[in-house]
Amino acid sequence: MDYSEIEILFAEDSMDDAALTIRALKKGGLTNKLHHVIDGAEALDFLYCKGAYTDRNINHPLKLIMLDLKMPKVSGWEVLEKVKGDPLLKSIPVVILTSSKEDPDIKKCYELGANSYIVKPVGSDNFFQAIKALSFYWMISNQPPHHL
Amino acid sequence: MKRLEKYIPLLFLTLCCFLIAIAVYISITLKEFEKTSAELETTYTLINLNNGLLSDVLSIEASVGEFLLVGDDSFLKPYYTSIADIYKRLVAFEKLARSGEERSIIDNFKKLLQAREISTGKVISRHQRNILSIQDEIAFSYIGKRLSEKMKSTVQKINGTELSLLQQRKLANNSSANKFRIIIIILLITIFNIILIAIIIINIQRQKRHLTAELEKSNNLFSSIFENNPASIAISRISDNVILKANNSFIQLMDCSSNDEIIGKSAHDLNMVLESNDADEVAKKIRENHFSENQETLIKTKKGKTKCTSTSVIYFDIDNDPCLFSVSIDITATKNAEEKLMAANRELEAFSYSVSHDLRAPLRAINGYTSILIEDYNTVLDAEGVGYLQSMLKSSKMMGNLIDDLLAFSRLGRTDVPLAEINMNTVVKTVIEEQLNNNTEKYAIKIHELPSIIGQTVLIKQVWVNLISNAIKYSQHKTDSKIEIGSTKKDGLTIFYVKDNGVGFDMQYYNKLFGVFQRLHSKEEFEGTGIGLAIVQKAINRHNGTVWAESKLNEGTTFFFSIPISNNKTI
Repeated sequence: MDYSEIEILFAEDSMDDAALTIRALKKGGLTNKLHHVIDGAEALDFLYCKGAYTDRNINHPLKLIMLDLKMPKVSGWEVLEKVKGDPLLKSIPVVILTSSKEDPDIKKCYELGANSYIVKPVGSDNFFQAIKALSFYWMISNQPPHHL
Repeated sequence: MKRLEKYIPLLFLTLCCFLIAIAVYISITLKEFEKTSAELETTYTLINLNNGLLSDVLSIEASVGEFLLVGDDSFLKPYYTSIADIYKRLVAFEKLARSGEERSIIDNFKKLLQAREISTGKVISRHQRNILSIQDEIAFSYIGKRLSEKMKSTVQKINGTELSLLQQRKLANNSSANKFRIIIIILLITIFNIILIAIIIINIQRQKRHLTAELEKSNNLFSSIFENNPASIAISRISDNVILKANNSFIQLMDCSSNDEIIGKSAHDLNMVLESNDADEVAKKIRENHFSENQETLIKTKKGKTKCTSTSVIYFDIDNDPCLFSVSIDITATKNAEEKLMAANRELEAFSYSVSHDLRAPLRAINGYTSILIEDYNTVLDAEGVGYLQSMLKSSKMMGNLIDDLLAFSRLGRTDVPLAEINMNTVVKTVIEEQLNNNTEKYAIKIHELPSIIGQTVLIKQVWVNLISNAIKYSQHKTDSKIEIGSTKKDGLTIFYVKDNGVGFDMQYYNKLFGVFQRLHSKEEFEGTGIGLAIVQKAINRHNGTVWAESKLNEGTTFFFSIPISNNKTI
């Protein structure tokens, strides 16, 4: 499989949330640039080109990582921690997507080095808009440092 | 009084000495008085003797004259008697004579008397022998008269001396009597003072006994308070940390059985102090402020148990020795309960998080897919179908809000949320719009002007949601549903009310109205979980208010809730 077009890594265990998110991004014309993984372990495999992703070119840069927090096997926290602890990956912006409004989550995310945090709203319009705005912001307006 | 007390023995001693001095003086004065009186007596006697002598001299002269005139011997009898008398008197006189002058006067008198005797003896014998011539008689009369004159003048001289002496002694006696009177007065004053001091001393003693008794009573009271105090009290000396005194509660706290195991030992000996991070800070605080309050301290008891105490320490001196007075309350049980509560809270937080995450995900899916249907498949459905999809969207959104609100509500019980001024008019308007869901024509809703309150927005909104949705729900079957919302002010409270003309309820079930999962109607009649009014009550109680209701079956219900006007940041 060719991953050379992929610029966004999207980790989400809920198929419904994933489908809705992907649809929102599709409407923004970004579908073929996004890769969806279903848990943290797969996300790490993708990032480090392991397991099913051994043929991915590790030097191909990602522009955005979107992480759900509550995922099986390896949680969003753990992925975030690893990414921000790795000198090669830490410059990739990470946006946290979660249902939780609980305060400690926000604090913990920022402590771990997350670039942004967004609570997935129930209202569909809000949800689509949030996802669109977010991806555009990080893909277009915000230039990653190693591209300068 | 105390200063006076110090001088009382000295004063008493001084008065006693004074009394002795007065006694000595009186005895001296009395002796002098006795002497003066005796002398006075002598003077009187001497004057009497003198007067006797004078009358005797006169009687001698008279009897000798009569004898010479008449010549009868019987006339001589008074003469002899007088002579004998004179001698007797002279003897008495000699005994009493006090000066050489008096004695020489007496000697002189004796000589004169003897001369008189001799001359009289000669005349009497010549007269008896009838050889007394006229010349003799004249010569004799002359000599006799001269002698008598001399004797008289002697007697008068003595009399004069004695009388002047008498005068002097009388004066002396009078002055003695005066002095004596003054002394007696001084004596009386002194005795009076001694009695007064004695009374004062007795009083002081009595007061002292009374004070001692009071002191003992107070001492008993305080030692009883100390010994039986439920708080654990210990007094320790700072210099060597040795515990000087400890009460029963302290002994129990340390798991000891008697005082001996604690008194005289230091905290170090007892191995009771556990390392504490803020020990130095507490020690500094005690040194600077001389007290420290409700310091949580961990201690180790004799049995090796660790206990947590809330300890207050006061720094004070006992006999210039700096000491610490510590009062401890065993809060181990409270501390354990607190930890359990914190664990329960953490669990509850995890539960809330899970609920928030897990319940919202399916809702988001329902909502998302519904909106996809509206967006992409609206041509397949007719207007009614699209309307249903719109309602689905709205309901799922509302449920999402409700979940958020309920989670916020459960969090509010645990965390302090800042209070805000709530515009009740806006809140009520929003709630009614949400609840009626465009069904405005069926209900005649009258809203009076409502005052703003200080409170927690989420809670107050929930109260209105529950009360207004109840009013709508229970009056939905009426043809002319009327709902009235208003407020009054009374006794520092703002009372809000929601009145409907719905089905109402029987007041005999009133006690079940605000209970959790308590319902007065079947689910078939009216839907609901039976938690709404319980939430209302909890929310209003958190605002220091109360909630109540009045109802009549088939006529309607009015719900009231009060919020104190003075509500501030203490909720």
